[in-house]
Amino acid sequence: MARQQLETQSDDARPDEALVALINQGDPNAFETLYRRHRDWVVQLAGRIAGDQSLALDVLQETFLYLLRKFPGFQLTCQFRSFLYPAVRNLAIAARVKAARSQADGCVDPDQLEAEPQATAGNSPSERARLVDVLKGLPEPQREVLLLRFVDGFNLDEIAAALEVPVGTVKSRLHHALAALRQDPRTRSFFE
Amino acid sequence: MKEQPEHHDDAAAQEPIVPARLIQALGALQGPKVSVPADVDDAVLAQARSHLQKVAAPPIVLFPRWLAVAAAVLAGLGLTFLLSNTGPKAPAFAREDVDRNGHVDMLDAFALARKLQAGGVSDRMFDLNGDGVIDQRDIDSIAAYAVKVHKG
Repeated sequence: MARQQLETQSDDARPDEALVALINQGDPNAFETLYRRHRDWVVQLAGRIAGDQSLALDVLQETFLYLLRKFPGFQLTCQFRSFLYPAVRNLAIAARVKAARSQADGCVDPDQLEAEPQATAGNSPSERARLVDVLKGLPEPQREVLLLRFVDGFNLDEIAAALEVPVGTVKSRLHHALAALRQDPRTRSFFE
Repeated sequence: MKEQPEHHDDAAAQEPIVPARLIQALGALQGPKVSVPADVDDAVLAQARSHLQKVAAPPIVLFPRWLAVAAAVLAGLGLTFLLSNTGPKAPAFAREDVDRNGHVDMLDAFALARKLQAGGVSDRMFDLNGDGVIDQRDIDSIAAYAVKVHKG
């Protein structure tokens, strides 16, 4: 799974909850472990949403500083990546909007700046290109759920926590997204 | 493509079965690998160390000055009380306190006079002027002491 590929190598097997408890006591080593464990996922997600590597690095720093400000007294009530996802997403969108404004000096619609999937590997180039096209045409909430599930490797509960919506809504969005892919002639071959 | 209204029908009740080829194709949509330079790591971790150092060392609670003064006064009073109540104290009477009532006054001079009139005093402690004889001069000494005490 993609999530496992992104997992930073670490010998520290302590769960995120245990590390959070230590950070609440002021342990910088626990913070470093948590940072290194999730850093690559954060920067990859930020890059995907912001569409720029340097912006992704800015978002990475801002995300962990946002997290840092929650200590002491931070209570982790869901999976750590579910907690981080909204912060990364919002910071990445904001970074992209800001960058676009500074370049174009014009009005930018944030809704048009949502993540656009980029194909780098996998099936045939034409198949990938068609898949990317169809994904671009999906409503953003459906595309977001699809990417969280199959690119980031979140399970349904984690997606629900990250998006702060009921699990049923996640299932519904996923169902509609897959139905759209199944019905679209450009991606129908994946289901045959 | 229009988003259909969200609803939780039976079809969405379970996670749908997704073809492996599609999962593989979607999983490949990672975007370019972003490598994190060491200086970014260092910047984040330095901020963390600085912040968490404050977390590990809670701030010293400073008491108001008036509270510190009040505490010192109370401690002093308590110490005085303890020192003045360290146990039963044997009464210490002055030699001039002939009637042993804790005060040296003219009544003590009268008391010694009565003792002398009653038949003499053998107790050497009443030889107040130290001349070896207990007589009127010792009575006068008590009277002088009583007057002196009253003046003081």
